[in-house]
Amino acid sequence: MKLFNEVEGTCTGKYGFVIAVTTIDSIGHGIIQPGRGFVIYPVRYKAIVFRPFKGQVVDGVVTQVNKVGIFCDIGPLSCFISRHCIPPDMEFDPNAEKPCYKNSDDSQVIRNDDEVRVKLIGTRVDANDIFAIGTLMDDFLGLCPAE
Amino acid sequence: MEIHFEGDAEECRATVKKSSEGSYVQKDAVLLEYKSSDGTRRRLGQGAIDREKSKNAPMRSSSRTCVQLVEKDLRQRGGRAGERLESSSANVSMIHHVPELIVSDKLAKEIGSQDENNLLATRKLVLLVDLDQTIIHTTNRPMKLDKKKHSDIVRYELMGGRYMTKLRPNTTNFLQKLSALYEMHIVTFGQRQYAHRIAEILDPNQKIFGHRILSRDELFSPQHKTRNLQALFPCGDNLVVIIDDRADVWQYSDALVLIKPYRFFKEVGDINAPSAARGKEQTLPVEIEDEAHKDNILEEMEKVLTNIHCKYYELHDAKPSSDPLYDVKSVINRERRKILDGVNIVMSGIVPVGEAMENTEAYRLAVQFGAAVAATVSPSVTHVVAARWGTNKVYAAKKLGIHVVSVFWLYACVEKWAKVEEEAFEMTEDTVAPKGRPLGSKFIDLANVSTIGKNAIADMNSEVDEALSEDDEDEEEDDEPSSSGESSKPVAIKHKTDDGDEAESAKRRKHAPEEEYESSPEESDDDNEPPMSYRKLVSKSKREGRMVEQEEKLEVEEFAPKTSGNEEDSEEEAKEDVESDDVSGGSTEDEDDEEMDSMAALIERQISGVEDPS
Repeated sequence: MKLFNEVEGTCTGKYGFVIAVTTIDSIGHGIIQPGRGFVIYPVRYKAIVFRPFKGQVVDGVVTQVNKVGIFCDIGPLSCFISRHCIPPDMEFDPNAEKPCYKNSDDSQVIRNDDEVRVKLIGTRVDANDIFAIGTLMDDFLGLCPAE
Repeated sequence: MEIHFEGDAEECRATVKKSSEGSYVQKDAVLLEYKSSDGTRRRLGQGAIDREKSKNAPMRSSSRTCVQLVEKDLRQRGGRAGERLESSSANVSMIHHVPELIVSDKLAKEIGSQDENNLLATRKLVLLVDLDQTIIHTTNRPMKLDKKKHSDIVRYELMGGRYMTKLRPNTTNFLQKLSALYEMHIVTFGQRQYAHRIAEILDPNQKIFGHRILSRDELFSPQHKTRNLQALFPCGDNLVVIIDDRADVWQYSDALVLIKPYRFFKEVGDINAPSAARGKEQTLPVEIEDEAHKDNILEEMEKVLTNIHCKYYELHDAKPSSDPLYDVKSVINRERRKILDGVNIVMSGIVPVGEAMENTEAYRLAVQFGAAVAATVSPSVTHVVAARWGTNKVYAAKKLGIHVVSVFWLYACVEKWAKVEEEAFEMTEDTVAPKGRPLGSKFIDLANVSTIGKNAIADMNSEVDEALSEDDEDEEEDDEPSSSGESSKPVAIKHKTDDGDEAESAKRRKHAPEEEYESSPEESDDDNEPPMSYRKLVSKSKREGRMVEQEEKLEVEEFAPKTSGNEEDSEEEAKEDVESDDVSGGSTEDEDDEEMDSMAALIERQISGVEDPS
């Protein structure tokens, strides 16, 4: 159905990212658009959405590591972790083969494509997009141990 | 952050710090874990700190830290997006391809100085590399390619278009070698997708450029690349070297090492040129520039850039560490000045009339490369750079036995970063001004104009013809000249030049035979008379004025070579004939006449349109 194509994968500020439409409850009466011949139907549907909130703890994949912080993707949501929100014992190393944050004894290294557990400390909600900033400075946050 | 434990907790030891000095922490955040004397692990968090007190005063239990607590939102409840309670000091966008992320000036400086130290520690400089026409050449035109011969051309689809990119010879080697000495950045006017696609081609493992790609989408100014420098390098551009094929986009920065534009596909300029100066798109199939294979500029540039790096660190090591950083620009300048050091140039025929010598490209380059430029020829002058033979200065120089070279000698020096031999550029009496492009930006692409060729001109002509025939139809309905149509015509006529006339006459020839056929029965009794068509044309030519008259002479020769003697008589008669034709002629003839007349009127208008401005 057209609804699926049109709505899945989009993002609204109010409901967040629409992941998948589950059921369509009702399709109302169509209204013909004046002068155009198209019809608009009011459709009521249920969908799985992803609406990030402040304080939520989520897992993400690191997409970029640079001197100001780390960018990671949490599904459709892109999240920025500032340098200040990375534990201070982890330092940025620009000279490694892949730029990374690592602590002094190299026991923890965060680089591209690593999985991290992030706590969201703020979201910016636009009309059709959401951005988040996260922190690694809390218990059990940081690099997810590789399975 | 240092932590002291007081009183009976003196034997405690901090194990994991969860915050740093001066950083913002959450209301309920754990700040630190510590081990107490009996070996148990404890955590210091919100419970241990009195929030009110800790806001300004140092925390008591873990004294001498200054942790600020923030728990309020930046935006008031129900406020609109972008509205902040406190004004933001963040205004520097530091990350190449994330212009949305901005950091405050102070932080930017801090990060910038870290970068700088890091560069110095690894003994690197920064190199900003342009893409189009510097290390690659891209076309989006269709072309046939011998796949075996050009295996290094990459084809890809992007944004709904098909593109082909040719790397400059030796590019991979160049980038590999220089990435050991320089931190490489891409700075291009290409779109983001394009820039990243090219970076993928150049550097599939992201080892050379990494994420340091700055594209059109992130550039602050549509004309210049200079303004982004300040954001990227908040501590100054002391370590920045640039290679680009255009100097104007960098506002003639001293850090720029100008490189000869690389053109592989003929007649394709920079597809991402910053200004709208791109000409009308031609749909000619693209050919390959023959000389492109011999291009070894990158090898030379590699030497130049390695030399700059080497010289810079020689100086850097020699100076005491407390001194401020050397500016790499001064190193570049010094190296550049050495090239034409001791050369004293007089320019001849290069400076346009009414313009100061200092404003010309040649002057700028000569001075930049260390040559002295004099106004008049004197024995101390070593070279006369002339645009053509036969100027006073050239003769004076010949008398004194001074080198007379074309301006391309200067450009060759600039391209090669070396004083090239004068022989190849020596100017003699019979030297024809060589065609080609000056280096850099401010050139008028003469090469391109001259290669428009017959196809293009034929296209233009057919366009003009179409326009004319359309106008003819208009004219039949309405004899009043429409102002909108006229405004564009003088331009079209100007473009046509001599080839255009040919097409015009060809068109007329097309008309002529019909009329000849129609009118010849009437004129059969008069043997001296030229055929009708000729007389009509001549009469028309009278009305149309002198420019078309020249054109008609061609016709005269073609149609009636004998009658060139008694032109005047025949013209008068022709006029009468035309009139009589108008009265007596059939309906088809009337139409033809009308068409001819309208065309004549039209051409008349065009000519007057061309002549009026002059």
